[in-house]
Order: sequence, then C-alpha cells, then structure tokens
Amino acid sequence: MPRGALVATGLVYLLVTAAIGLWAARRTRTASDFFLAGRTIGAWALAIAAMAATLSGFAFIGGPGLIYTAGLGALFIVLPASITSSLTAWVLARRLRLLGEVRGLITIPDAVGVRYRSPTAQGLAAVAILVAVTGYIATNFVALGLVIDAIFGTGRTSGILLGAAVVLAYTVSGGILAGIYTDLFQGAVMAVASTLVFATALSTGGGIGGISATIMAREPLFLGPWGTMPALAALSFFFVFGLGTIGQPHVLHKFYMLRDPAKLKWYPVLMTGSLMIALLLYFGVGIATKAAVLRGEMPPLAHPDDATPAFLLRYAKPLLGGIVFSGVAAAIMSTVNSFLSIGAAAVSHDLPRAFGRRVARPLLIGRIATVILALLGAMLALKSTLLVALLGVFGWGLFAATFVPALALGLAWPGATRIGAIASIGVGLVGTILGETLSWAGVYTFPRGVTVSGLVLVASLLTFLGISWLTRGHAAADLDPDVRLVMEG
Amino acid sequence: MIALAALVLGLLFAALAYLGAFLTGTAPLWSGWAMAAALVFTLPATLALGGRRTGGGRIVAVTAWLLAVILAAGFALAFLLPVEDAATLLWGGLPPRAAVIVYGIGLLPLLFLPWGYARHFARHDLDAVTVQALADECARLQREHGISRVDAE
Repeated sequence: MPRGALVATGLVYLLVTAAIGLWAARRTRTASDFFLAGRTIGAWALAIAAMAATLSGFAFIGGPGLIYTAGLGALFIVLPASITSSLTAWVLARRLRLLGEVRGLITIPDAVGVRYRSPTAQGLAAVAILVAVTGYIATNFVALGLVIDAIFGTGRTSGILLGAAVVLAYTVSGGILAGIYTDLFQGAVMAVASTLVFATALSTGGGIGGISATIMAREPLFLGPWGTMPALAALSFFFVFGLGTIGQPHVLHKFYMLRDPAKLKWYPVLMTGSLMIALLLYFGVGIATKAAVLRGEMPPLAHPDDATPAFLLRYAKPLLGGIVFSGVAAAIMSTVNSFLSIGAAAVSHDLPRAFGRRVARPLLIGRIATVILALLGAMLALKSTLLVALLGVFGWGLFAATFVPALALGLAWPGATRIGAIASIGVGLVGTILGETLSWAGVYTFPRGVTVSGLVLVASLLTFLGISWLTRGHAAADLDPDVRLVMEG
Repeated sequence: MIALAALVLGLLFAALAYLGAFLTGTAPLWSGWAMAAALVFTLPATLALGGRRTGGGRIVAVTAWLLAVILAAGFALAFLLPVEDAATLLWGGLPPRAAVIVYGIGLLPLLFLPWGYARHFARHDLDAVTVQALADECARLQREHGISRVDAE
C-alpha cells in the first residue's frame, strides 16, 4: 500500500482533531465545561460519543484477530451490543441525568456518594477508577504508538509520544467538551471505515455464504456456535460484556452532559445503531481473513493482531486503508480522552470529597491531574510492557465489578444499603486486582472458560445483594428523600 | 420483587457454572448450560429492575419477557441443533447454529428493545413539565432535610 495515501489521510485526521480541540478550548472556561461539556450536548452527540468511548482499538485490531483465532466464540464479546444500550437506558440513563441535575453531580462516584450518603463509597469508587484508567491509558497509548508508526513510520517510541501529545493537548485544553466533539468526528470516521471494510470483506470472499462455505469445508468448528472455545467461555464473555456495560463510568458520565433529558428517548436507537455499524469490521475482517487464509490467498498470520493490517494491505485501496487506520487511531484517542477526563475528576474532585475537602480551583487542578495521568500512562507504555499488559486487563472487569452492583443496581433498588455497596466495591477491587495478578504472574491458572472478570462480577453482585439484605434495616436511612424520588418517580 | 428474585437466581446459575469448571478443572457442557440459564435470568431481570418505577410496569414486563424468551430459545437451539458439516444448508449465509447466534441473539433484540424503551419513555417519562415538577419537588425536599447540592458545596 503506498505510504503517501496513508500519511495524507492520517495528517488530515490529526489536523481536524486538533482544530476541534482548539475550538473547544476557547469555550472551556469553568469546571462544568471541562468535566461536563457545560451540560450542553444533544442526543446525536451523546450517542456517538458514548459509542466512540465504548470502542477502543480492540474493536478494530484485537477483536478481528480474536475472531481469526477463536472463531465465532470471540463474537460473544460484542454480541450483547444489541441489548446493552437499551439496558443502560432503562437502568441508568434517566436516573443519572436527573440526579445530575437535581444534585449538581459532576462525576459518577458523586452518584455513588449521594445514593448511599457515603463519602467512603465515593472514595472507593474513585480509587477503582484510578486503578482502571491508569492501565487502560497505558495500553491505549501502546496501541496508538503502533498505529501512528504504521501510518507515519515514526517508530514505536515516537509514535507513543506523538499520540500521547495530541490526546493530551486537546484534553487538557478543551476537557470533555473537546472530547465530545472530537468523538463525534472520530465516531463518524470509525463508522465509515467499518462499513467500507465490511463491504470489502464480503466482496473478497463471495459474500457471507461464500466465506462460510470456504470455512465449513476445512474448519467447521470455527463457525460452530462457540467457535473453538468451550461454551462456558463464550457465554461468560456475553455475561461480562452484557451486564458489565452498565458499569462503565467513562460512558455513563456522558449522561450528565445531555442538555435536554427528553432526548434520552432515542438514545438506545442511536447508540445501538452506531455501535452495530462500527462493529461490522470486527466480524467481517475476522471471518474474511480466515477464509482468505484457508483459500491460500493470504499466508497464515504470524500474530492474530495482524488480521486487520494484513487484510487491508491485501485487499483495500490505499485511501480506504488510510481511513481505517485513522478510524483505529480515532477509537483509541476517544477512549483515552474519556479515561483522562474521569481519572482527572477522580483526583481533583472525588478523592478530596471523600476526605471532606474541596479543591479551590477545580479547573486548574483538573488540568494538572490530566497532565499527570497522561504522563504516567505514557511512561508506563514506554517503560514496562509487562506492567502494561497486567494493568490493561484490569479495566473493563474492574469497572463492572465495582459499578454494576453499587451504582446500577443501587439506583434501581431502594433496598440497597451503604454497607452492601462498600462491601461490593471492596470485593470488586480486591478480587479483580488479586485474581488478575495471580493469573498474570502464573501463580494460579484458572480453569478453561473461567474469566477473573466474570467470577468477580458474580461475587461482587452476590455480596451486594446478600449484605444489603442482611442489613436491610438500614436501607431507608441510607437513602435521601430527593434521591428516592429520582429513583422511583 | 420478581425481578430481584430472578436476578439472584441468575447469579446463582452463573456461580454454579464457574463452580463446575473449578470442580472438574475443565469447562463441562453443563457449565455452559448453567451460564446460558444465568444470562436468561440476569439480563431481563436487570432490565425489569431498571424499568421499575411508578406506573411504568406493562411495557417493561413485556420487553423483559420477550428478551428472556429470545435468549432462552437462541441458546437452547445453539446447544441442541445438530452439528453441521460442509453439506449443511446455510441459513442466511451461515451454518444454522451460527445463524441462530448472530441473527437471533445478536440482531433480533434490535427490533424491539430500543423501540420498547422509546414507547415506555413517551408514556411515562421526561417531558419538560414533568422534569420541572420533579426538580421543584427535589429542591423542596433538599431544603426541608438540609441537603446540599454537590456543585454548591
């Protein structure tokens, strides 16, 4: 693929992103602008930004590689996408948006804190966010470095530094306001890239039927319902990524920003539609690459993550390749921006509140915290591949195990208690860190089909429900009347 | 209460699925069935619990039941349909069990979940008058109970 087209497309992408960041920076004057986009965004912006924050580089690189390796079983990571947006809307969208308005909330840990009248719960939720985002940011910087290297030929180190600098520049100057509007642009790039590549993938293999016929003739297990995985492993993905979605604070945070709560009506339609379009590449490239390898048109991949780049090099026109690589960069940058925003808020807002303090200049402290988190992430990405690999697996599972019980169920169920919430967040934090570390270090190997994230999610949910039931006498006292009204009215 | 009981039951099925893997050291087929049962209970139960509000019952209940039926039927077919080979007739370009997963579990909920939410929303939720009334009532309760706003602290 000629490098000129790649470089030109990549440059256009970066310039547009920078221009949006500059525009947003001029409109960011208060902490509310920085953390909540001034509560001014519309329904389309909310849905596309939520989609862009949900999908990281994994959807474009790691996911197709996993399909290529594990077959249909890997689809269970994204299969709940048709359910999760509606589930999130029903459980949380209305409540978070209204609670944000009547209580002036800034962060997701704020919602945990006011739900249980508990600074401790808010502080623990903030700690969970900091642990998760540090690893997430580092892994995304590593991926961004690889993409920038692929486009511009900068080398890995310079790619990481350049990528981190661009994200940091627009996040620190324009905060989440810049994030939302770059997300809109980036989400559009991701959707266009995904649709075009899906069409290319189908046309190379003779349509979905031709691809299936090729695979079924040689490796029928690949297109079995669970692929090459045990049924438990595939279904466990569905459990973690289906239920865990309602505990992802970088996505939920965006509900506070919606200008008109009546627009939530169409959130599931818009979010589900855009998510499904952006995920076409995940499925299409995965199975089309497998079929191409089986037909002998492509050599077997040395590494599964090569699936998307190898497919593009073989079949895509240079301009499409450039758009897709920009789409990957977009997916990564939009996710990092969201993580930086909630991480900075945890440092400058949630942790001080947990200790009964309030920072004097939240906008300045938020910007400083953003810089520190980005530098920490870049440093980890550059220095310690092993540590990044460990931290990178924490994110989704940790968010799910800490926020699904205490936040999502807690806002839907008046019977939840403060002790139940604190215990479940504790189980989520300790269980995830301990389980993932033991597994990563090779000290303990979990049986096939068992994921730490699934196991800890079950444990934290049962802890939450069980302890809340045991301490049910406290439930009424742990719930302020205005919060109850928002939950039930 | 039914939603909460279904959620607990679903979580116990999930725990059972993982217990099976720990006890045998592998992932026995019945663990897969148990996890499928966990999904059939937990996801619709969470949806029903989330949709539970004053006057919001019927559409939520119908949507949750429909989701449970689709998940149960889809997973059961994926487990029970015969294993395919190269001669098997494709359904929509995919082997039957894969088609059930992709089109049934993956796409069918698209046809009713977002629309169910929009319909529920239109009947029971957030027009400007309702939001203002709620905000006023919350402000009154906050004054009465000495509760302060986060952004005012």
